[in-house]
Amino acid sequence: MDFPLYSGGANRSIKKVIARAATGGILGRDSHERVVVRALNSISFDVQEGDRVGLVGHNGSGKSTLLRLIAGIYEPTQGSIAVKGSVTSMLSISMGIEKEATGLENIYLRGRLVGIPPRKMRAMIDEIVDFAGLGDYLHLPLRTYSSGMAMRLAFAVSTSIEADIILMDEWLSVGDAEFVEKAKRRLGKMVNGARVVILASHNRKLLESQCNKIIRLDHGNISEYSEISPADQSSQPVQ
Amino acid sequence: MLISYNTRSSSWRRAIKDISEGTFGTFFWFHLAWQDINLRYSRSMIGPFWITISMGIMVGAMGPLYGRLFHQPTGQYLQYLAVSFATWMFISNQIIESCKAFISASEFIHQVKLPLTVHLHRVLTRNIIIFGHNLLVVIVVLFFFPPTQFIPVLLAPVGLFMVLLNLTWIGIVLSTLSARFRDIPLMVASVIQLAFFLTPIVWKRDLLADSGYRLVADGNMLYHFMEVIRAPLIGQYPAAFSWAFVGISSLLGWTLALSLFRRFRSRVAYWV
Repeated sequence: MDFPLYSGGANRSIKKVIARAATGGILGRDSHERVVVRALNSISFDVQEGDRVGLVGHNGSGKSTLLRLIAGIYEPTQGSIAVKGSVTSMLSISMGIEKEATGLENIYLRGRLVGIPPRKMRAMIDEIVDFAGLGDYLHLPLRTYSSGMAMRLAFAVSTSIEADIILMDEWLSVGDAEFVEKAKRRLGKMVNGARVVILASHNRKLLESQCNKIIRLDHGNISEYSEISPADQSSQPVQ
Repeated sequence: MLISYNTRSSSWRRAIKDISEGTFGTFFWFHLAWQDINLRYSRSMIGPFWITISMGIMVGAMGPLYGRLFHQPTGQYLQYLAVSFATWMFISNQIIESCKAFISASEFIHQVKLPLTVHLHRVLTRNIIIFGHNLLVVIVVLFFFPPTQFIPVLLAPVGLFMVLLNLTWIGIVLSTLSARFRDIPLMVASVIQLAFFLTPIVWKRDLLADSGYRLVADGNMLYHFMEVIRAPLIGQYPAAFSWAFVGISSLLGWTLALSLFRRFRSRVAYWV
């Protein structure tokens, strides 16, 4: 998967592109060679129902990019990808958050983004507010929330659904001790109901305890692909 | 929420799927548009009605003076001016804002998989709601100076629908190109500004009669968009030529938009 980088003004300006084309490169000459960043290279693997896949790798190795590819946010520049089932991507804490809207409005908004229509959401509101501990802040705009509250709200909504395929990135390991306990249980419930879970983390031990397949990424390449038999896995809950 | 996709399927199929799912599969754009409007209300007393009031003042101030300049009876001219302003503001703002539809949704695009069409419809719906606000001025003016015949008024929704069809393909083309070439929004804004003077908005097409300059109106796509909405509202039937122009432009325009969209839809996430 190649990311194009359009450096300088010339590559983003249609006027300059036309000037270059019309004058044979005399006018508007800047670097017109596109710089391309190869984020992922020769990635090929299958994931079946029942798999829990762990993605491990250094920062910048392509974990988040691969998750976004699976989520359908980016389409591969070469090759193809096929995904069967409903995908819930919990990739970014700020997904769809509207700072000027109230907590309640954001709950509905985020719910829609993960596929929960407002009527269904109405039934879940009390439980979410309770879990996130929002109290009276519910009707205040999100910009008044502390970052912890905002995260709890986002987490609560994202974990309210039943999903076929769950994609998780590392932000889920953020939060104070008390919240982490509550979150473990809630997340565990959701994960157990899902058919496929793909989790990206730095923490190899965590992944080994939770996943049956580990993929290690190194500068966009798969450097390791291992399967873990159930016997080797401990029975600790997620996180 | 994403359900089953396969990049091995044809790009035509994925482009059409984006448009059909984005328009009929989810009504998220409707809620986002209303949220945008509500947020404009939230911190100011009257919110979008400021635009309505300012339009009302412009019509009231310009009406008698320009009516005199163009030798038009005041009532008739006020009708014309009010409808012209409301319609032009809708069409021009929509075209300009649609350039940035994908760019301003870049955070969304990078985090959630949604049909790109959703972002376009959000902008269009928002502008339709504001058009609705401005129609209040029109209703007030038409109350004092009613249209001469009422039957043509029934054609106004038809005209509006045809214009919406056109504005949608224009939105697809402009927003996709603007995601790649960031100077397009500015160019479009300049062209629209110029178009304000070259299109019959403040003046009537009749003044051109059969002179050589009549092409300025008759060849002007925006003029025909205006006519199919404006003429019915003031009680006249839009010229058949305008209907034809609007119809043909939507056919050609959609062909262009679909080819562009098919080719570059998947690149937008990289460009934005």
